[in-house]
Amino acid sequence: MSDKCGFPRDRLMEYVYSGTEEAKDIAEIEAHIKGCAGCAEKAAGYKSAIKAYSEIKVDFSEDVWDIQRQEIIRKIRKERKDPFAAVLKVFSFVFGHKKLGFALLLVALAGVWAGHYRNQAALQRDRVMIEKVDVLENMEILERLDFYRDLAELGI
Amino acid sequence: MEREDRDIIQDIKKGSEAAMNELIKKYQKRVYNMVYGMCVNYDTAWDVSQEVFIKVVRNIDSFRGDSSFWTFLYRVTMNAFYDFKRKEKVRSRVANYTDTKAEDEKRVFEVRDMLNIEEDFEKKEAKERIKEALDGLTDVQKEVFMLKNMEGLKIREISAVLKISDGTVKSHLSRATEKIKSITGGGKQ
Repeated sequence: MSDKCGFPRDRLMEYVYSGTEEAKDIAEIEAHIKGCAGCAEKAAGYKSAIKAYSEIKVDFSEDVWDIQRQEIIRKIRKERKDPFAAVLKVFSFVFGHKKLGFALLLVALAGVWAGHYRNQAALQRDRVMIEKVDVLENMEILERLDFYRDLAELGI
Repeated sequence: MEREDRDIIQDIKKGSEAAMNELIKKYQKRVYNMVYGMCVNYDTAWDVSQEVFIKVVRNIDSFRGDSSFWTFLYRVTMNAFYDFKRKEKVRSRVANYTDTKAEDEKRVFEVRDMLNIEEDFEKKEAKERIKEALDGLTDVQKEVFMLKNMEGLKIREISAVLKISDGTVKSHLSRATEKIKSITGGGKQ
């Protein structure tokens, strides 16, 4: 809202930017500004600030822009000679193509999961083997006890 | 006669250095001024705009032509600008311990020296006030204000580039203009 008269700031902005936008109902805003010194001052202030900003644009002489281009090309050439450039290019390509990057990530995760699953299965097999060996050892002991009991019964 | 962007890009994809030169020549002033319009710093604008074109050439294969080349270039420019700001912050933190800038990144001249000194001096105060005002804006407010008043885009074009609604663009523009006016005093010298 504009401070004193209550005219909305957004409408003043429409007027300020009407030169670059398809303006509608500008006549109504203009009529208000003609009769309201506060809004007229504000609109002039906005326009002045915008003008000051747009005038900071920089333009060097063509020689300077040439220097910048040469520097960029030199850096690109250097990057292309770099042995890591190919790796960088693949990296950029993958991350430039989101779907491909996502697919590769899924494949990598599936690989990690498959590796983990194989390890767990091998561990489970080992555990079962150890349990079976323990049972066999216990059976041997029991059989020996039975043998000695039989001998005792026979009075040997 | 200027060639179409897509033709130039096709040649860059084939490795043509002449096409690279052509593309840079076509857009370097716009890119420089977009960055300058975000930070009002000659050196930052110079370094970032160089980085932008290096990144564009490096990632040219990822440009498939779904959007205009300018939109692609704009996104690369803003990403490079925000990356630069992040790196600068880190550099300033470790500046007392070591010089973290690579030899190749160092500029051997001041960009300011290449300007028309009188003209630069005349606008110096206004630029300082604008810089101060920009520092008080959010990134998106700065982008909207720059796209409107430096690039001359329409509200609906800005909303398409930034992927936000027209109403949001208007709201950011209104707030940014108000803040710039209040700090620059409406542009009065």
